[in-house]
Amino acid sequence: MRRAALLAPFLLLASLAFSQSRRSPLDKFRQLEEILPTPNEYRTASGAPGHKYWQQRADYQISVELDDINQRIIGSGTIDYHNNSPDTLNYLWLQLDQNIWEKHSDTPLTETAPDFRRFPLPVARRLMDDPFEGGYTIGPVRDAAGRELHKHINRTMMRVDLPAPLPPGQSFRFSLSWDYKINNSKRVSGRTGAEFFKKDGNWIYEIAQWFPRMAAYNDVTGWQHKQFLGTGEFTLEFGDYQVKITAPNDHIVASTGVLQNPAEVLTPVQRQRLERARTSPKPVLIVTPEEAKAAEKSKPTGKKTWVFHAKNVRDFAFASSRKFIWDAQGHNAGGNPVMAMSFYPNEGNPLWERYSTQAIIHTLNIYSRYTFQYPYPIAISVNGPVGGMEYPMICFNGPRPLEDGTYSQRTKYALIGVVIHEVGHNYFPMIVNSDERQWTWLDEGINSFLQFLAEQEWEPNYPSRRGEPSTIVEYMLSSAHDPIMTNSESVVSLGPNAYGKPATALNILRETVLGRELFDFAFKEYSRRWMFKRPMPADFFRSMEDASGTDLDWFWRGWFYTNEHVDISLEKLTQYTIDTRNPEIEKPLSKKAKEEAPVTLSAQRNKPLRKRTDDYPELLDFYNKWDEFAPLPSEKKAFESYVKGLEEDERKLLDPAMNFYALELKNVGGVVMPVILEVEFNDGVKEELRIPAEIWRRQSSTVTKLIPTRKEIRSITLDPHLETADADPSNNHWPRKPVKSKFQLFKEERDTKRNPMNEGKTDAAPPSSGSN
Amino acid sequence: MRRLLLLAATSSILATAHQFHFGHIDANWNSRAKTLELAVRLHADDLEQLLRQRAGRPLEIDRDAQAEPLACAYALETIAFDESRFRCLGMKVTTHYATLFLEAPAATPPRRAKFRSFSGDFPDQINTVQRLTDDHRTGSAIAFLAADQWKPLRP
Repeated sequence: MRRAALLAPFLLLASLAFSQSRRSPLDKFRQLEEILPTPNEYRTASGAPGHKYWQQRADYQISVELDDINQRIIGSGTIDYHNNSPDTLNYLWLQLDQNIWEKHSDTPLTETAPDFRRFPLPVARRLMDDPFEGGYTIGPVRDAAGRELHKHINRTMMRVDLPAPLPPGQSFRFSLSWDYKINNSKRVSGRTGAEFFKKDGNWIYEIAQWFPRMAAYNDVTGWQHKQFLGTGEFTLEFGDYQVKITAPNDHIVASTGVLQNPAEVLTPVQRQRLERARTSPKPVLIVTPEEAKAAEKSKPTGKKTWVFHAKNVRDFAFASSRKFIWDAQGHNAGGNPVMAMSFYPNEGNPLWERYSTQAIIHTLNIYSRYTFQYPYPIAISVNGPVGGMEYPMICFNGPRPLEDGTYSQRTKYALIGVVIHEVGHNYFPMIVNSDERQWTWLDEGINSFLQFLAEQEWEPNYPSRRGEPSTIVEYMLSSAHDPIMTNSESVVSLGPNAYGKPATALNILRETVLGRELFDFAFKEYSRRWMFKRPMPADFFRSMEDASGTDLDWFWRGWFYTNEHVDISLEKLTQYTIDTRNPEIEKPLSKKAKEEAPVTLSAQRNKPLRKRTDDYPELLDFYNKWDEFAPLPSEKKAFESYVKGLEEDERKLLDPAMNFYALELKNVGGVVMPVILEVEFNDGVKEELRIPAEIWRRQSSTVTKLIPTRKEIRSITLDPHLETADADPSNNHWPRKPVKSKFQLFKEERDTKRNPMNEGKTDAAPPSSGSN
Repeated sequence: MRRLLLLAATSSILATAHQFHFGHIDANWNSRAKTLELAVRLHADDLEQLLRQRAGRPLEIDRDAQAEPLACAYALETIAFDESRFRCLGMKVTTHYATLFLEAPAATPPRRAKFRSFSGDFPDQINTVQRLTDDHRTGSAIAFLAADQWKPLRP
């Protein structure tokens, strides 16, 4: 610490202000208007839908057959497309996602070379042996009168030319048929597929992106027909669906929508159990494990057609298998009755029967609190080949225990976490219908943030993967990391970029920048504004500012538009005290300072030497006896005169007990952030100082903060609650403190604890051969 | 002409819904002990999938005795600093991450590195190396994209 006297308190403030007057060439608080689209009558400057907001609509009537012998989907359907735009349309675009597995798909063509030292088998199989040739076969497209329409397939998109321009406010009905080979997930994995169980010869089907879906047409992109390469998910229109699913008659079908013909497809016992489940306080088995086991050995004697209706959804998916156990529990979502259901094979137990439906209901409770009440009547979680994927009212989740029925802690939390995440996607983007093909983060990031909130209310200290600031530091340190505002297909390392970083950013916005009350109000406002509508990033940014009453442009700029990281360093602390000019005060202080000053080595060694003045005291004169620290009469008089010239309030400022600490802060990482300081005083008392990010507004690289206090400061810690994703803890202390590295900590904790569930079971050893 | 070694791997034509694909090394040169200490953090899901393929059975990395030696072998295969010969001290697994600890004699700080864990499996893999000397950061993290081989660690 450096102690310096002040000539006057006013001078100090002036000098600090001067030191900060140089502007950085890049203003991190510059408003985003130059980047964000200009508000208009469709999307307002406040972030709300404008008074002329519009969106298209597509209603579907589909019949589909699941071919369990050849693993094929055979479908046909009618689409009613409603042009609510102000534009006349000459053609329509549909998405053909299955064509990602078509022979000449862009996806394998644009893949880069693998590591030739470790050539992955699936790649080799695809290139050399038996490539999976999926993709749609599309039949004729006909209008309502049965006339064939011209169509053109452009890889994963299909254009249908209209017989006449479709004016605003008009609808167009057309029909088409299609079929495709379902991918075997073990060989070609994806968001949909079939899983084969060798030991009983049965399949689980998770069927999604299985019909030609209307591409979105909107006021921002026009037709969103960016090709599907595998990463950017979907942009879809809302509509009503009537879907007839024909499957082997021993299958159980789980689907988006409400089952219309239970009497035709369920047994009386199953219907009775389902009825009981509506009011049960815990999940009720509709199909028991024993019944599912028995079904595994059965052979179908025919087919059954399951009819489902779904209102106001943007997509439709289903799952089918004879292996399914089925449990259900009714739930009241703020007055809206919801049936929460899980479908899983015996291989999923004991995990699934314990956690899946519970996690569904927990998700609905927590997400609804932060957004809006869940509006759909169904919420389903299915276990099958897909690791984790979401569709309206239904999602697919992968984690399972080992064959012996034991599971690791990781598997348990993987299941709970993925069910929360995928069910949570009902809110974003199934209802708040953002453009996933363009912006993955706008649903995945927001959903990962809400997943974190839901997980933290599941049990104490739930080990969330994402949300806590510390979880994203290493990624943000990488110079190769992309800004969050990067297109879905171009992002390198999508998980940290589109899931983890925005989840942390929103958590910081909530906890550190805005506070929970302001954030929660603004976030709920955004969710409600855009429920069943299609927001863009600017609508989110603007809504959060509008409803919180806070200019957050610096935050969006730093966290969403740059690849900088957070690292603020406590560089220097300088102590200043008031120069009162009172010799009765200042002289003793000067004396004390002199006495406390270090004694040089020579002075120490010379001290015991006998001096000449010891032998000849007559050599001592006035100056040897004069106390330089004794106030002189002239000094006292000068002080009295000085005080007389001051106003009463100015005199009060001459307080010798006041300390002024100038704390120099350096922005090493680049992202400007609030400065959270824990100040410990010499008496052991700690105080927290929370400085808004605007401290950096004039100079974003270095600032000096003045801390006035009557006490003396012992130490300062920056970011004491680990809330800002500060990358380097070693510069977060004054005085500097050593921080133990991971390597040191590991060496100290060599004897890592193993999974207690495993240790506690004598039969918990993993099997030596693979399952399935 | 080079020969290809075919290995079962986790990659697929279509990315799964939840990707992690990020690895990080804190590479500390200990000037007193003259050692290079690596704390290698990988996503446990990615690593577990890979080790299952290698073990040929449904292994769980947080409770399977074979996981640590397999993970160590994989780390030694895919990570290199100069000509250092690393010893794997062990692995620490939390719910979401696996951290491997490697140590090698090193008279001077490393000059170059290669960090290719999962680089051949996931085209969007990013690996980073944070250089430290006596536990103090020296410069920013060096990023390795999927195609990167050796990269210099010093300017």
